[in-house]
Amino acid sequence: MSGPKIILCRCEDVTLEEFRAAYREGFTELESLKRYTGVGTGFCQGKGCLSEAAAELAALRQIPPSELRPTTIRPPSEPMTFGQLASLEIPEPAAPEES
Amino acid sequence: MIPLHSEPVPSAADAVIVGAGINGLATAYELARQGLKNIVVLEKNYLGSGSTGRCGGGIRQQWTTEENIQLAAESVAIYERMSAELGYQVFFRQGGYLMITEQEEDLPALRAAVDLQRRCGVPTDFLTPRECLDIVPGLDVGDLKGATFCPKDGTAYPFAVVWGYARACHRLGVKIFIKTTLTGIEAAAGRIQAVDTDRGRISTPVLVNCAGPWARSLAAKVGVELPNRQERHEIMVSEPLKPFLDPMVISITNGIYFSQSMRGEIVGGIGDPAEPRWEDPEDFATHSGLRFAVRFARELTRLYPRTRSVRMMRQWAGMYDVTPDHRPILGGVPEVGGYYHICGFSGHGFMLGPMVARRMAGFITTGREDPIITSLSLARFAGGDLQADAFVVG
Ligand SMILES: Cc1cc2nc3c(=O)[nH]c(=O)nc-3n(C[C@H](O)[C@H](O)[C@H](O)COP(=O)(O)OP(=O)(O)OC[C@H]3O[C@@H](n4cnc5c(N)ncnc54)[C@H](O)[C@@H]3O)c2cc1C
Repeated sequence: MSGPKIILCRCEDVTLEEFRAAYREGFTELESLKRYTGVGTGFCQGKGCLSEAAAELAALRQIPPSELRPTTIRPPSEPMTFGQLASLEIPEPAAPEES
Repeated sequence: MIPLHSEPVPSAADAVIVGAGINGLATAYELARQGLKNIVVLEKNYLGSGSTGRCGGGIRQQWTTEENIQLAAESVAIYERMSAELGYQVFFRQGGYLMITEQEEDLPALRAAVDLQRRCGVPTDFLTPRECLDIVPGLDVGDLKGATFCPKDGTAYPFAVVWGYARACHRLGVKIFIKTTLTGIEAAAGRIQAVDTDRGRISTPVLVNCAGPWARSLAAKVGVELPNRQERHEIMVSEPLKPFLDPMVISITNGIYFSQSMRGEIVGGIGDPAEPRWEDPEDFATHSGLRFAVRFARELTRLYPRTRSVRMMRQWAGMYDVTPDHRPILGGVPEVGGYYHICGFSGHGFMLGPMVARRMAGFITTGREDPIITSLSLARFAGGDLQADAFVVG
């Protein structure tokens, strides 16, 4: 590898070069790049890196970032302990939407 | 390695496989290994985007019907060599499965299952609650009545298995198209003739339906009616921790399961009897809810109190493709030659997939009768004499 090593995702230790290599392998969507490289799946859940990753992908695909589909945000927005969660009331089940 | 999705599909193929989950990719790989040329895999989204990429990665041989035990045991043998065979690390780890119950009345069924599994060559043992503590120190065994343990059960990383098969497929010349949707199937004179996709038409004598939760709507396009029903199931991972939990723990009392992945995260889920029934996967909400998180956390911290201070990091949902007897539907149908389905895995398609694919590839290429495929054919539902598997969890 030439040039300086640039870290894209600090939690999962993913470099910019690894991200680009995955793109060259055929992973061209944020959803699949996230899974293949691990970018955004660490402790901060992408808060520190997914916008950088999106900007990089937009540049690689030569499209405006607004054309990229963001990855699905998964709850909880902040990690909670199982002890905290266990102390909550159990919500009612969701009903299927009327179609 | 994967052709970019702007590429048009070829005009002809020897086999078209729908779905790039474990079953579609493993079937493509096995067909190519058994000598079939010009194989095309169609995936409407990205690799592993269906149930496979959402699953828990659990692989167990502890079942109550012979076909499930045999397919799982044969798949374990494939998983044991998979990283070497595919040339890709799939993170298969044999920490065993501990199946626990809190109900006295389950014990005869557990003992009978151990006998059947041992007759099939699977080394399962019956354990007392105290003996469970040797396997999972810190488990609250106060309410347990008994358990079974098979040390050869384990877990693998679902996406790695998908990528491993995809690479091996690519090496063998299989063409995988992502972002490409099958939109229509043409059959004439009792045979598959061609398929339509949003990137063009492919004439083909063979179509394999590995569409997971979408298999039923796909089969309907050739007039094949599947009894499959789609069920939403939720799952979560915790923050990564140092290795401390060896086996997958799974309760046949309340449907909780949890294990520790090679990344150190606790991966787990719990079935919800109050989950509404969803009719069509396209209407399906794969949202994840607080209800699941609270129910899971309550059961986890009750059974395994040392997890109280561990943080849940991420939760999501996926679909089970469920059949009336909780066993897959394999083989073809007499009305449409060249049409095959590999679906209806009911929550255990990741663990059965490797061997199902190998057997189905043999069946497709040689036409030779395979007793397991015959007993798991769609025709079994016409007879009404179903043998359901009892150990469905999640
Ligand atoms: C929460 C959860 C946990 C689970 N845990 C386990 C476990 O621990 N162990 C286990 O063995 N199993 C588990 N399962 C079940 C397992 O995930 C499935 O049985 C298995 O992944 C099915 O694989 P498949 O390849 O048959 O289908 P899928 O992985 O669903 O693949 C089907 C593919 O077909 C594609 N497709 C559909 N229609 C079309 C079309 N018209 N054109 C093109 N492509 C199309 C879809 O996009 C999809 O990628 C779990 C499932 C869930 C939801």
